[in-house]
Amino acid sequence: MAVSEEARPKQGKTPARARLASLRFPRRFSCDDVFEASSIIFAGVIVLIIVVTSVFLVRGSVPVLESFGTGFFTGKNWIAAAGSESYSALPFVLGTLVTSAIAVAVGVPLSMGIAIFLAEMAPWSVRNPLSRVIELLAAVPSIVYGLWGLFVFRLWIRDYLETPISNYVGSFPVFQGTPLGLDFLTAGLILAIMIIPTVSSISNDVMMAVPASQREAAYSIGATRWEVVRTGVLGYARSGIFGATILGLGRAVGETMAVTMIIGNIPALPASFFQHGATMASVIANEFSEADPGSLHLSALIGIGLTLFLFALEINVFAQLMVWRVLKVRGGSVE
Amino acid sequence: MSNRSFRKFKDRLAYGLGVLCVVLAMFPLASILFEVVRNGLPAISVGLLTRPTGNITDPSSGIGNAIEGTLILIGMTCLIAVPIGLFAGIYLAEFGDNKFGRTIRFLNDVLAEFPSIVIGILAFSIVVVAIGHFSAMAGAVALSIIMLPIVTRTAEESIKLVPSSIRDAAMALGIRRWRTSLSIVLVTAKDGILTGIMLSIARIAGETAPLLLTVLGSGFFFSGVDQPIDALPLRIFTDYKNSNYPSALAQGWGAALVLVVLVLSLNLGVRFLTRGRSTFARARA
Amino acid sequence: MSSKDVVIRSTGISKSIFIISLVIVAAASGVAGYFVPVLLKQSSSVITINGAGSSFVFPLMSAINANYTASNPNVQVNYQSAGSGAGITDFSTRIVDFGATDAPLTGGSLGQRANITRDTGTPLTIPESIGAVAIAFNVKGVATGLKLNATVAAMIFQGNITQWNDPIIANMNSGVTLPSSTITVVHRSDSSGTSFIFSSWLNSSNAHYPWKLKVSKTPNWAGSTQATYLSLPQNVGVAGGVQQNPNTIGYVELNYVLSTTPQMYYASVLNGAGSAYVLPSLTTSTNAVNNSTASLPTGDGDWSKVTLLNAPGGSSYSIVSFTYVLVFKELSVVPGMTQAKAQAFVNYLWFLVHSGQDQATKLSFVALPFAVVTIDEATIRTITYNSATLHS
Repeated sequence: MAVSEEARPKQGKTPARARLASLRFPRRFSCDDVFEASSIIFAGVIVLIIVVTSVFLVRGSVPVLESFGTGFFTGKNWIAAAGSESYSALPFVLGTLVTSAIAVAVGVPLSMGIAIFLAEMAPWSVRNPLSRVIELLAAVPSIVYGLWGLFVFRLWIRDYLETPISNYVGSFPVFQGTPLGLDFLTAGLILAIMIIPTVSSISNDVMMAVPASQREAAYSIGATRWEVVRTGVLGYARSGIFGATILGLGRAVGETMAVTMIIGNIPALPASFFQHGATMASVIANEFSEADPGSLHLSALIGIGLTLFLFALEINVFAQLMVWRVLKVRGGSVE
Repeated sequence: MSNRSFRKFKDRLAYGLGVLCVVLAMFPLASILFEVVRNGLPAISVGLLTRPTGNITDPSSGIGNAIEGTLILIGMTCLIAVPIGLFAGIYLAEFGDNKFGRTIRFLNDVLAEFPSIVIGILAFSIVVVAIGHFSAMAGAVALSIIMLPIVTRTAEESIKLVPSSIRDAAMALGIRRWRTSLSIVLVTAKDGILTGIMLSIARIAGETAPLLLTVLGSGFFFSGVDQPIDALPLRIFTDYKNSNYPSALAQGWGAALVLVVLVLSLNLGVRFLTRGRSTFARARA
Repeated sequence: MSSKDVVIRSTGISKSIFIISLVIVAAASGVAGYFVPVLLKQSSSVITINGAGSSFVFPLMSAINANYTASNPNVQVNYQSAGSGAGITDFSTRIVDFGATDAPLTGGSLGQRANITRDTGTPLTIPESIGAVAIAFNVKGVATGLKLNATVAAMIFQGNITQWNDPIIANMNSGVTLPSSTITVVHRSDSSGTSFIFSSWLNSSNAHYPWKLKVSKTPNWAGSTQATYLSLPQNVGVAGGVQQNPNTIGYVELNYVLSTTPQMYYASVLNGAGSAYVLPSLTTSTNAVNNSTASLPTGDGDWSKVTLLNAPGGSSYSIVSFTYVLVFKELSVVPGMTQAKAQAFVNYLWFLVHSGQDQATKLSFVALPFAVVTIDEATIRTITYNSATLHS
């Protein structure tokens, strides 16, 4: 049934067809050339946007990099008060890493469970409806997550998670501090919820792309459903699932509004889960419009934007390598 | 025998854990929807939906201008991003099997991963500062940059799924390539493309961070593409900031309900009525 | 393969019709939204004036502007709360017609005022409303009667004092039973003019216990490790944080403690004369302005030294500050300004400092005292468009 990429004739490249076309239409001027050129121009808009962004971010962050050098990435302080200005991206980079790590640590196993359940175990009749309901989590606007996080979620976390942890193991350094529900942990957990639809739906697709022969082989030697998943499916889908995780990470790194509303926005180096912090996106959201034009403060914020841009770039390289390759195989085999 | 029952037990356990994961993920969704409906529904009235903001401390203030603003921003964004995205998608699908095409595909994915706040900064620094004031236009540009990669990628995917037999048939009839692409391939791929467009609309309708920096917000109905404009996410944020006035908080929840209904109905509509082919759109939107 | 395609295509038609109709509805509502207001009001004659800045004055401005448009339907004054810093930035880059800020333009040869004057033209500072910052608290058994001065408050807010029953607080509050609980400090997580005013007041603390976390819209809260902090966005976040959590203390604009239900408790503060502890109210805030010895400069002068903090007078509240509207003296420097718009703008400013102030009291804002209105009148009279005055 499959017509693979290779088998499909490539239009315009087959010499016979090109000759045929040129025979039929005397080549005065070719609308096709215009068409191809214009589609290239539109595609070029994407390149243009990326180039403009890079130039803008690099140029904007030159002043702060000149003033602080590598100190911009290794310093500890972010003080915008006039007279004692000191800027370092480190607290925000670490803040982003910590919240995203929590998001991945909590969100990915949950998403895996969902994906495995929906792809391999659930009764056929509920698979589609359930996966669509889960995907709705991605549709909730981030400002609504923020409101819900502030009014509802943080109180749950404070009362049912942080307070008990604090009571039992509050002496561990990473659980020190009064649990108030506005901290790295809550921000990370809300991000975990927000990445579930991304990770679970891609993992689901990746698992569905595993050839049926893998499962059949396992079933034929008497494996249970779980053993089929573990031996036949997971191993095969591993790199795709890893890619899905990376894409979830990308989501978590860039999320702004919900995190800004609940993380507390204190530029402190993370030491405890129960501590206020800030992420790269949250500090930009918080301070960008307040910074004086032409000031070092503004340059520092753009420098953080540049760092965030580089994060997005790297995450994408990984995701490209991992996930789309797997799905491309599937795309070819389905049609 | 005991080994066999242990294996069965593990299977059951895995099944149970799967159910648990699904329940755990649905719980926040249910809670969010419950809170939005519980707090938002009492505020909804004809007056709220049709009047402009006016005096935010006044219970008779409305969110009509925010609803209008969100719809206008969606329309303007589509006008910018859909044509560009379609053509870029056509390029990637039909001519993109080379180095330049692969570069664009990669950059497009990078753009899709872009934090929206950075796009907001970009639109502020370029469009707002260039035009000289906050405007609906600047907001539409920012939202277009968010929408563009999703449209491009879904267009590419959908066009690639069009069977080559259709193209060959068109070619055999002597139809020029550009007409084939526009009138035949694109029309055949329209389901997938429209799915991508609708999902990306749902995505941009809820964006807040880039709008904060570009459209400013407005207390009045639309007064020009070069003027500030209101939007539902902005109104929710403003209402939150002023929620010591109980009527403002109620209106904020009302606006949240309207926004959630708008976004979810777009999503549900698309997902239940199409096969939702594009993994990319579902992952990013 | 081909038969499968046919199946997909045949079910696809009704779906795509549905989706197309959805797109059409969305586009149509966008287009309708575009045209309805154009049809309803002759948009060419409507003048829009845009302002941005201080979140604190947003409710007041919203009420005043709605009021103004009601009597002047062809003028729409759109003010949005982007934050005080944004008010100054957006004003100086002229992407809005006016800015509003809780902190004045910084003075000196390198200050914002000098920069704006050099780049664009003279900025005018128009005091528009008066802000008072209340210290709200939530301590079991202490309803009213908590007394504080700047030094003790600074020690609490930067973590020198961490227990409610600390002898320093207890000495100041004889007769009040304070619990032996840890103090939780609630402060703003966003950049805020309220933080600026409050940290300015904390900075007036005793030299033995100086305020170390800087006078700033974003004080360096990370610089203190002793106290338990709760960091929340916006005045309303801090107010909620204090209300919902026991043993907390925080600072919010006066109108939040007055208008928030259920009732919030707030501290009385030692007055500038050092003679009595004064509760914040509209009256005691007005007293502070009326009794202030600060000499108010003209509109084109340097307001960065003007302070209403710790004003003299037995019943003057200590943490009081102006909020300002910033406009250019020569309006033609603003892009898109026309004679008609400049005239409408000046008329609006006149309304803002006169009839507009009628909205203040019922929204728990302090109305401008007469002496300040007089200065504002003189300032507004100096505004020109192409060198011609607009209000006489």
